[in-house]
Amino acid sequence: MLAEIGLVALTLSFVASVYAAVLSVIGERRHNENWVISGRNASLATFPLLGVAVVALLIALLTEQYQIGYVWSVTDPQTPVFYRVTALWGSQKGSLLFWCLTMSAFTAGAIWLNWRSDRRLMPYTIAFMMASLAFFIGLTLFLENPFERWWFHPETGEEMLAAFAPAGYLLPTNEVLAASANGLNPLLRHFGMIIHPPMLYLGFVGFVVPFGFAMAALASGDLTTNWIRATRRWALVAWLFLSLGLILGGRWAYDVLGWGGYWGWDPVENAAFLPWLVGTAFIHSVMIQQKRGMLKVWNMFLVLATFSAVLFGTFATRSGVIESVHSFARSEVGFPMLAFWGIMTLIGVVLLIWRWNRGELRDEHQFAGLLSRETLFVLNNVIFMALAVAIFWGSFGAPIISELFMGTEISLGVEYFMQVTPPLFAAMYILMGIAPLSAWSATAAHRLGRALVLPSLLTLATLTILTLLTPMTLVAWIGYGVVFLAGYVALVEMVRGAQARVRARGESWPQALIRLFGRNQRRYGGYMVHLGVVVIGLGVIGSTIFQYETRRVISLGETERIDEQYALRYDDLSVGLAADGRELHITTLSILQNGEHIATIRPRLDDFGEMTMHIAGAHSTLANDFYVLLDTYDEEAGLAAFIVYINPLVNLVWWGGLILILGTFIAAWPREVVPAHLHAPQKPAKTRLQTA
Amino acid sequence: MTEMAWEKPAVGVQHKPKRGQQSGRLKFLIGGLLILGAIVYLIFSGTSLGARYFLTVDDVVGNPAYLGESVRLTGAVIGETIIYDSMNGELNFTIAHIPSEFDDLATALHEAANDPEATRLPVYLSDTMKPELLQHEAQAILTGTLGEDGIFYATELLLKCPSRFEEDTPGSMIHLQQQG
Repeated sequence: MLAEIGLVALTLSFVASVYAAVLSVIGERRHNENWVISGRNASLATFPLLGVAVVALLIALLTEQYQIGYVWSVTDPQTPVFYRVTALWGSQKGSLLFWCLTMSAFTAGAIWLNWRSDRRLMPYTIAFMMASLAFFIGLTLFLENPFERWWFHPETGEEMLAAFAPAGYLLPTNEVLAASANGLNPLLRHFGMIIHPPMLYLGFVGFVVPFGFAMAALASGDLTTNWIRATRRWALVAWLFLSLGLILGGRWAYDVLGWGGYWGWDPVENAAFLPWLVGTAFIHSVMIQQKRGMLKVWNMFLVLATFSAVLFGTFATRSGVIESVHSFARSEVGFPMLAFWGIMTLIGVVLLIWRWNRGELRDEHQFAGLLSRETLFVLNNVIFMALAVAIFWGSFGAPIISELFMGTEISLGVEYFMQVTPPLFAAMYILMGIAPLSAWSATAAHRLGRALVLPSLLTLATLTILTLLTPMTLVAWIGYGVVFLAGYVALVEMVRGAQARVRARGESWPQALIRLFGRNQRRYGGYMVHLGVVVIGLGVIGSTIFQYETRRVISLGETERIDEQYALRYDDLSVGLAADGRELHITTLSILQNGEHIATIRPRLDDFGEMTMHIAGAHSTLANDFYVLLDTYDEEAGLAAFIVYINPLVNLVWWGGLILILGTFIAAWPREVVPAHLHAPQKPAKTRLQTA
Repeated sequence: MTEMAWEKPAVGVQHKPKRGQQSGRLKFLIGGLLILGAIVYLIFSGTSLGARYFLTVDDVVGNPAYLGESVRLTGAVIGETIIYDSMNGELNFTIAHIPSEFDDLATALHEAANDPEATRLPVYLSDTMKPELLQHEAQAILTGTLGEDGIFYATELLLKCPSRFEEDTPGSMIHLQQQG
């Protein structure tokens, strides 16, 4: 019954999305209001319909309906309830359905909230958003249907997956199927995997809204800043989820994959990083169009490129063409996804060139000075795009081009990324430090220099202390230097803003800071995001340059010196059985720092039968992670081999992520929700002054 | 309600560039070209540093051109040659050349791993755990250098097992039901 409910709901949502896409365009072209409204209603209906389909699958997972092929492939009778829920996105079919639901949630939200304010843009926005949604629902329905059931032929014994009963085939009983059910991939049984995929999906699909509005602006000819005003917050929300998804993905890799790192320049990781880079460029450059009426073509290009990168990233992850720990198994969705990516990108580019040729996207101002804020923002965009191009080239461009034109595949290893990206990231941090201090239109060099004096002095003082207290290399010194500078600029700006309020209004410091953020959420939320990126940068530099790795064999009861500070004592070995059937081989280790016991950790081997996972034991402090993997053990000889990593500052990566998320919340939080007394006085916008 | 906050269209607003504006544009142009040049150089130098040719066992064995070079190569794992010294973290195994005449990877790997005539290459890895997928007829993708002793010293090992990509089916369980 659940399979039938799911199938019907999925089919109806497909019909509704196609209907909405077609009717919105026809209604707009023929100026038929009823058709446009009918298209809108159909598009709003996709969300509850997909909700029904997802709930049906979820109930099937929870109630162990193994006749449904998806349930059989991702759970078994030993799977705990918790993982039955997360199994919803544990494999291609379920995750595609979940993807469709999140996309429909974003589209429904955009239609609901922007219908009145952006009425002129809505028909085409709905059409583009629904075309994208229809494509993904179509993939789910026709190629990766999670509601297909197992059928078997009583005479030939043949079995097959199909949505409806093939002639002569019967349904096997649930009990028989339960005995052979697969269970969730062990790699996915981790806290990070519970929220990492949904966050990444929300980030990916969220960009459909800015894309829809931008395409609508190009198609309808309303090329004012209306589409930007309508989508800025949506872009920020999508960016927030994408950031969260990337950080959680890193955390999952760090905890589960057992190699002591969180970012391996894997093609699929990189594919998810590309929309983040292009989206970040967009979030910055969009401000220039709002303030100065410039970069209209560039912003359109960026929003197109972001969605294009999303579709490419989806293809990279879901087609199985690219070999990676993050990718799904090989699937038939590869070609349709590649085709859809090509078609959507082409439509966007053609529309953009058409409007550009008609002179409808001409900038209202010229670039004035080399140190003006708009110039520095453009430079920032250049750096983000250079990072995106370099990472795309390293992950996909070089292997594809070499195979096509040189008859051999050339891949670019980690060395490539470690050579190309650090100078670009350094440039990004330098601009992050300078740009907020510059003024629109033109900035005098001496004013900028004066504003940089205090942050530079603070940076130098910090570097001096670090050099005296910790080991340092030239690369680390430069890296820490540019990162600290960016951080101190953001901090000094916040303190200056609050100080002005304390002096002028006699507010207390906490009060002044809260009001400062409330009155200019975008600016100070932005500084907070910068601070988050600074903290992440410190963590990345520390854990990359100063990581210490060693492999040690230790006898039971013996203490092994790891470095001048740390030693490890192998205390115990135990074997147990977990609720989901895996065998746990747990070692107990004591960490000694300068002879003092500071922590007990339990690195272990989880034996799932078909595979073994090395789960690290870690002692985490802000200064470092003492991260130990159990490689193997010999119970009779009383020996165990451990791989030890000391990862300095690695926890700053996660803390920086939290600060970044908090900052984005502040910047994107709806103004209407902020208490009125915190609002800044409304200045007439420049664009309104030009109203004819 | 449609929002009527229209901007005045910028179309048609054309100013003749002044001399100052022209020199400003020149500055932006030169600066832009310098930045672009630096980025292209960075990507180009990184490409030559990080490039790894994807080779076969036949390409590498007996070819002095690749001695000491960082290469990436593929071969079929011969199960009986796998020796893992768990206490020292040393892994030894041999890979065989994968013939190109088969469309199906599983067949090609089967042929390669069981053909005594196929070119073989011993592989050594240190400080490593034994990967789960390292088994007979798995496809190994290795990064490392070929030593003068004819051993391939790998620094990275990626394994593909064709059976992992085949869709699982309930198989015999349904047959049991049928018989029952």
